[in-house]
Amino acid sequence: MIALRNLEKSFKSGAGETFVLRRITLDVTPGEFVSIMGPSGAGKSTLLHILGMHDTDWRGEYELHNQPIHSLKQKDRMALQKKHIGFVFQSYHLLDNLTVYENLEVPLSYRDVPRTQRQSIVADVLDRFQIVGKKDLYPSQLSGGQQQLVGVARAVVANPSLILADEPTGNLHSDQAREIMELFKKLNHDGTTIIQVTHSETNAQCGNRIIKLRDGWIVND
Amino acid sequence: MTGLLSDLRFGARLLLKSPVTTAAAILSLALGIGGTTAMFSAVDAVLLRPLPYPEPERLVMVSATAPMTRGTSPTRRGGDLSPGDYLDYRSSSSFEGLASISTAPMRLTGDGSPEQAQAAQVSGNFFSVLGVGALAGRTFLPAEDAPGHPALAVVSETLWQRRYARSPDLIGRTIRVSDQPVEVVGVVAAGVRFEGTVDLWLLGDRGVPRLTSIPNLTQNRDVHILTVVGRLRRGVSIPEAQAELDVIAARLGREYPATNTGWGIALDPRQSALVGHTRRMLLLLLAAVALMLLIASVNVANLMLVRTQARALELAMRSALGASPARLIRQILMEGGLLAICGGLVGLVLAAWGVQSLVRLAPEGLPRFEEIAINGRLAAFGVAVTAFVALGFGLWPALRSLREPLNAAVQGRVRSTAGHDRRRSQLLLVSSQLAIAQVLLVAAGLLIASFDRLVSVDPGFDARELDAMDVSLPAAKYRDPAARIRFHEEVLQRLEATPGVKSVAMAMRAPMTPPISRGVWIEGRPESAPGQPQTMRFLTVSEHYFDATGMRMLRGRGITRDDGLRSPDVVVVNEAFARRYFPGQDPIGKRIGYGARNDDHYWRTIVGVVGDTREQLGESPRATAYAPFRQSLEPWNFASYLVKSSLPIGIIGDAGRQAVMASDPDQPVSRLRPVAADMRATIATQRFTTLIATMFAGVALVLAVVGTFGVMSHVVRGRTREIGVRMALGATRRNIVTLVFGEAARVVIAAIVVGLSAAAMLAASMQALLYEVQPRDPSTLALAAVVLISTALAASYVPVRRVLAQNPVASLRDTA
Repeated sequence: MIALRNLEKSFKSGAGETFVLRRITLDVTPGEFVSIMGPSGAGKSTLLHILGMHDTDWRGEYELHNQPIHSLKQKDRMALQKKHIGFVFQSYHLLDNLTVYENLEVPLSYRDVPRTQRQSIVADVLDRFQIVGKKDLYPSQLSGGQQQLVGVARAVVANPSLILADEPTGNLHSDQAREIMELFKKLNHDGTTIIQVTHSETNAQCGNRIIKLRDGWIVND
Repeated sequence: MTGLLSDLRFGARLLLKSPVTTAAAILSLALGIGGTTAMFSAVDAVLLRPLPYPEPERLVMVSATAPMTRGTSPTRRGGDLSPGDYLDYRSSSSFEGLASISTAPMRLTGDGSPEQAQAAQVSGNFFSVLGVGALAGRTFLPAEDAPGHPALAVVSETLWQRRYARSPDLIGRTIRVSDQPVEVVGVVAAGVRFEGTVDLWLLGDRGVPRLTSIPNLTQNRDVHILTVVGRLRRGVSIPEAQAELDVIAARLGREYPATNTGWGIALDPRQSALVGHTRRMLLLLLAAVALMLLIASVNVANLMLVRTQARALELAMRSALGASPARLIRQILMEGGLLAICGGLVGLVLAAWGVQSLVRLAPEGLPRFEEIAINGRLAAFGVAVTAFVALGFGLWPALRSLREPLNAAVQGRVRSTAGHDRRRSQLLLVSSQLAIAQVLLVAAGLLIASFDRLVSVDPGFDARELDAMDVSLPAAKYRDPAARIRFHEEVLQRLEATPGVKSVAMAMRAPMTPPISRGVWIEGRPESAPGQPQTMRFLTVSEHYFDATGMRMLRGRGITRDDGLRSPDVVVVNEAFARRYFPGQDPIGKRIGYGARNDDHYWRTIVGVVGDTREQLGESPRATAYAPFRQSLEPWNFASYLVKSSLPIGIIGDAGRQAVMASDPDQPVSRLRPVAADMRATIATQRFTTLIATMFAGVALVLAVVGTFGVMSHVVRGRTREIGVRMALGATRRNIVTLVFGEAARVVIAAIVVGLSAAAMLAASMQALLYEVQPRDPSTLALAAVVLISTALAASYVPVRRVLAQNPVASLRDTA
């Protein structure tokens, strides 16, 4: 599904260059549940955001579903991103002035899904995540766990083949974290490829592959 | 005290840390304070401050009202009285005194080179009616204008300084005015003005001018030359005095049917008569500047909201470290106070400059403009208003944010509804600013459209390369018509012989200077009421007048050299005269009469019809008759020479002075000017109003757009995270632009709808200031809306582009 070859990211600092990622080469097959771990500053989130196409300032090769992202135009990249990727943030990043229902609907509207179809899909996701009763609430009216639940629901509403999660349980207590990880396991079991960045060994054990980064290098896979 | 100083220091540091925002706030404050103070000072000086006379509320202007004539609008106010009528009205018991004044340029000779001075011949009670005393010597005594009393003069301080070097022995000295000896009895302050600047006050004969070539003037009821001002007796109201004078007017109508039938009398308070025509203009400008103050205040309010919002975390931390709410409030007040002080100081400087500019730009003749000065009370008011705004809008959100839980502020998680409310407040303020700016833009647009129509009006003559200069011949020396005619003929000959001169003419009044009004009789015309005269404008001209001024001869012929004292009496009329008195007929060959009915030269034959001209660009042409100056036996001693040439005006002036002095070495020439300058002067008030209103509208637009930019920048910055999330969820740049820009567009469109509606309602009050433009002129409204939309949307778009250029998705990075 994903193939990275000598992916690198750096920025100029003074007379030299500071590398955030060095010669990252890896493959991810469909259905894998990958955890990326490492100390702070290792480049984990940077790698995740590159995979999610949020960051375009890198060099090397990146293929997604055999499409050479590195040589695509921005418009084509975004089309692929919309089609295949869902993203879960540590701080949920729900839209504060939209209800739960509307937060779920937003990604569909950006994919030009017709309104009636959007209603149907959102209703289905609300039911699937058991948050129908909260559909008219605003994020500020939800607990952290509930907000992240909505964050995950929003990530899957467009039925992506790949979910990228950046410390999805970082702001949650253990019960809520467990709940979210169970959800990820279920999604993975249903066929969704998941790549998560995590500090938690417990969370990493939910997956079937751990990649360790240090100072921008892959030190263990 | 230490705490206060530290708050002050910290406040100053914070202001300096964000120089652009601080400068914007200070500039907004300064413009609001400065503009309002300057304009209100003008309104105060011109409209509100009482006249500088004791008990000015008892001073009234007494004017004659012309009789209704067929096809004209109802009775007009504001005309001078005839001398005979004035002497009758003096018997009124409603007044402590009725004083007369008649101004005219007069020649001063002796004590230096001849000089044309603006003289006013007044009644003996003139200064006592006004309540004015002398600076040196004395003023006239009421009884001194009795028949046979020696001629006396009171000199203005300006003339005393200019011509006599403030010599104290001027008092009691005899000077020569229009070749007549006159004893100077006193000097009055330069500020004593009446219908303009007066250099010299001359005692009249019972209030009727002595220095005149019109014989038996005290019995004359046909020539209206006296401006009359009265001081009501205590306890007598204007309606009561009006009633008494109406009775006298009716009696005069019965006793003198030939001249007085249908003539009435009108009283107006002196102050409103003096400034009435400027009232609407000043009030419009005051409204404009008040709206500008409102916009400036809203700008400051928004800036304070933004600043305080950005400091929510700092305030929360200070609170966590032990600061009491009172202490935090004091700190915010210090900062707001500093802004208000800086804005106030700059505002006062702007106000002083604004007042000087107003006086400098104001057209000549605007009453009381020389009295405008900064009004301290009003400056304090302006500072107070904007300080209140600065402090209030800085304090209010700060108080709200003090109620936020500290951890929420630390983690950046303030209540979403609080942030939402704040954004809505800011956008509402921006919308209100833009709506107000829209109103001002419409007003300025209407004035500009009106002024454009005005300057495009065809005056009916060609002012290009046409210069004018005036002479006022002394009555005593030029009583004989032949002497006047000879004088003008000699001057015209010499001017025509000047190399480079294309054409020369003489006229009683130059174009764009109102001719005299007088009654006229149409021979054979059935009259609606016995003894009821018609009226017309009248001037005597030389044979090349129509050529020199480029007026179109439409029918018949113009004036020729052969139209002299021994030729048949002829006259040329304009189209307006023909339309009014000979509708559907050819006036050539018809006869009209004016002057003394028993005069052999009373009836004149119309020999030509000439195209209409306008006395003021915004007015319709009036019925006018042009008579040959060689056939003028009436004692009109003022004249203008018109010279058509491409020579510099200085050369024309020299030639004119030489030509005049060759005939009379003691005769000065005055008011040398291009005729185009007179034309510009007739629309000077409109130009001034349009200029000032446009400036205010421009400043208001800049303030509103700057405010829009500032708020939208802040709003967009505040939505960076949201924008990042949306882009991470698949939104394209176009989606983001549509989202954010759409919000701005809704704000702008709401502002335009409200602004245009308000403008349409308020514009009706501007009708009197507009020329051939409807207050709800669709093209002006549309243009004003387009200007606002384009500038406001551009101001909103820039922040959006900036955020997109910085990759908002990067803001979602929670860990490195």
